[in-house]
Amino acid sequence: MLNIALPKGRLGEKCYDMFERAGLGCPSIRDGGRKLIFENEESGVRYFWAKPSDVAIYVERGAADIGVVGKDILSEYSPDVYELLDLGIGKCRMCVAAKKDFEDDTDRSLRVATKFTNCAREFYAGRGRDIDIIHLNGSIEIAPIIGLSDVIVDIVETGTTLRENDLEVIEEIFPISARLIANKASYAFMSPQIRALADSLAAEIKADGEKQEAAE
Amino acid sequence: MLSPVNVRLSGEEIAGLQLRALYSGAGYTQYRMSKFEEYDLYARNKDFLLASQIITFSDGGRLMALKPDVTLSIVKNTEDSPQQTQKLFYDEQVYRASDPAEGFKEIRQIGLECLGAIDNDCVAEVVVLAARSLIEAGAGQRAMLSISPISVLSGLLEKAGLSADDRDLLTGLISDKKIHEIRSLCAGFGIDAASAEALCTFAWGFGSAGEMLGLLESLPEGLIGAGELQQLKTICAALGPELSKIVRVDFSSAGGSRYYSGISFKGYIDGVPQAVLSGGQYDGLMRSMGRSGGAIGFAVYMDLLGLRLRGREVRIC
Repeated sequence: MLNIALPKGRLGEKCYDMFERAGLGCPSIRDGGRKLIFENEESGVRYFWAKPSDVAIYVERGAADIGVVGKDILSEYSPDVYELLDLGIGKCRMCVAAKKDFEDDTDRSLRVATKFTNCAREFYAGRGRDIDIIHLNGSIEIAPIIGLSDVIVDIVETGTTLRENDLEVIEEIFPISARLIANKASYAFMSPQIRALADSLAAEIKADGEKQEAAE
Repeated sequence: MLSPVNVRLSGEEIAGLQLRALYSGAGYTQYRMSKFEEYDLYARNKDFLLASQIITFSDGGRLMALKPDVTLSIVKNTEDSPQQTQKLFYDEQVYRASDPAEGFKEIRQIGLECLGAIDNDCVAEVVVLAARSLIEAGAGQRAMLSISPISVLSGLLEKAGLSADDRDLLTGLISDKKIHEIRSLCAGFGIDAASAEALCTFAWGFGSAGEMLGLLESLPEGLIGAGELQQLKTICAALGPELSKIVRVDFSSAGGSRYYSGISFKGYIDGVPQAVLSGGQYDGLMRSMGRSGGAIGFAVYMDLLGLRLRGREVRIC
């Protein structure tokens, strides 16, 4: 039985569609309701919905053999897992944003509000810039507006939230998309199955890309 | 005369006894050590340590550490004997915080070290003992030993004309099986598509050492060193048909490339989410500690193994 952890929400549903097309269907998952675990003995697969930021933990700890997680989570927590494939969905960017009139005062530490403290620390360490990290769990955009921080490091998808709060992206740190990850021990025992799935998903992504190119 | 006693042994204790019997039966002598070492040993060799943090204390002006590692102490405390092979095994506790969030842990490790004159037969013997350890200690659970011939990979990358930094970058991606990034990095380095695909194949891993050998022999002459091919052949022959079933070649087992050279391996027991066995050749550490001989060894992490052996008690009267 292949245990798969998917992130709850729209991204997870998109991922499930891809997995289903790759031959790992589990029809009961579409029944709705609040159930979180779904199994299809016929195709030898068990899915469970998990909080997006917890998927990597389920996979690292072996509760799931594979899973789908954003590059932001992988970069922030560095779980000990294999990162097998860029699924090319859930695309966004890890960015530095600030108020429109922001000017960096290099005389003092830069106050950075973020949920992604490791990503921020690594980015500014690479620049040799001294920073003061302010760890927040949500509504990060408020921090520069009320003077709690100079900048924020956060995920930007369309930029609408930033615009509506008079903030703007001043730098992109890295692009983000959903990744297929695998537990290392599970891979040792199930590599043919996991590789077949990854190959099938890769072929689907490639075909989609070619279709899009042709349409453009 | 001793009076009879009732003893209940846990699954972990039974596995420990089986491993000790396996290693002493193969001619390895037990090496016992104290729990402490001067901190300076670890400060000088921090590149070769798995632990990022060490428990230290002052002992009459000397800064001491609770051992986070066994191998460094064995290398430090044994004679440099490049003409002879010293075969040692240990059953020790180490203290480390591999994940700072989890805090320090006392971990029981049982393992072996082979120091001095290390030839292909010696490497093959240690790989065979690693595979047998998984069978003995796994108590009937499915086992898998992933071996990574690091020298084959580093040789290929050197021949591609990459700098040391670029080789490290690519080796890291192969270790994480980031196939998509390997392809784009190879394109950036100007590596041809066929070689890039070969590297991706290495990253995915192989079914068996025999299959891997077949692929390497089919590559253009001179691409793979004769020494590396011969070592794999010796390992394949030593494993035989029974052990070959539980051994696969996987370049992502390379782990810390600075620590291991030549070959490295990781062992898995079905149902345990992490590697329960880890080891390889560590000639680099020997050089760094002023030793002229080679070395190879592995450790079995009894705490992880214990997760799978819970409830497997045996009562001895």
